[in-house]
Amino acid sequence: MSWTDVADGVGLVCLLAGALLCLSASIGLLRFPDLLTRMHAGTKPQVLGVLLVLIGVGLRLRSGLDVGMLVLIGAFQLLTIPVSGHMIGRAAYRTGAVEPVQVRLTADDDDT
Amino acid sequence: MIRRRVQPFPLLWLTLVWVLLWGNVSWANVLGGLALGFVILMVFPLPRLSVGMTFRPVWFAVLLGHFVVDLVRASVTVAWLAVRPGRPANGVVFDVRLRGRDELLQSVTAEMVALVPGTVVIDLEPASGAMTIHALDVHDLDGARRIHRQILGQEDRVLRALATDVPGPTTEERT
Repeated sequence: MSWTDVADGVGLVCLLAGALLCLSASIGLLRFPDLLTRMHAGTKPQVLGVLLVLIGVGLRLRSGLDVGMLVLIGAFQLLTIPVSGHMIGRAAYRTGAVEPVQVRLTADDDDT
Repeated sequence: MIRRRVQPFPLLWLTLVWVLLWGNVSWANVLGGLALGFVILMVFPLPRLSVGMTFRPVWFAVLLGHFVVDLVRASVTVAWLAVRPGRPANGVVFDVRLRGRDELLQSVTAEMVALVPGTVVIDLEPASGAMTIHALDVHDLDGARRIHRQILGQEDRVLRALATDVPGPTTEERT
């Protein structure tokens, strides 16, 4: 068993785990009750899911410039995912589309 | 005007992106990237970032390590919330007051909080540092306090890694 086999194996595990996380994100998108909770599913397990898929592809390809492009994809994912989630969340929150307005508490009075 | 608009670092970065997108290093790609970066920076000038930041490698490694652990743990939690049988999870909206006043570091904190599953940043008021959060699967004050502490801890690590002067602990600032 050589290092390429190890890299292939780890890459396959990463691909599988990433795909499962993306699947869970889509299921969450369907099952969560309102917009804000759906934002969690739409943006979140996907972060790690996409990263794992990219790592998996990188481990299978193993060529410098391809890995560079994958790093680029990952970096732009990490930069843009919070922006889109934040914009949708804020638009919904400010226009009152979030209903019912759930418990709003200011956790400033936390004593620990 | 050219000197003000075309800064060396963004130009190199745009060239690097261009070369990576083409997927091979050749003179045509490098020169093409430089030319394109030049045009982009002339047409869309970037504001010069006033970076009052100090880079501390050890604390930065702590920040990244902690972030990866958070990311994995929270991803698994949210994935389970999505697929577990029964009533799906609900969440609450609340405010967290950040300690730092530097807008750039506030955005770094907000980005990292937004990337970790379980919390969505809805709003951020830079002047007061008030960040509005939606937290998943929180049902009571204790749960909200837990998230609150997590976010302040996250900000603490960001400040330790990057802030020029680290503000004192929260308890001293509170009046």
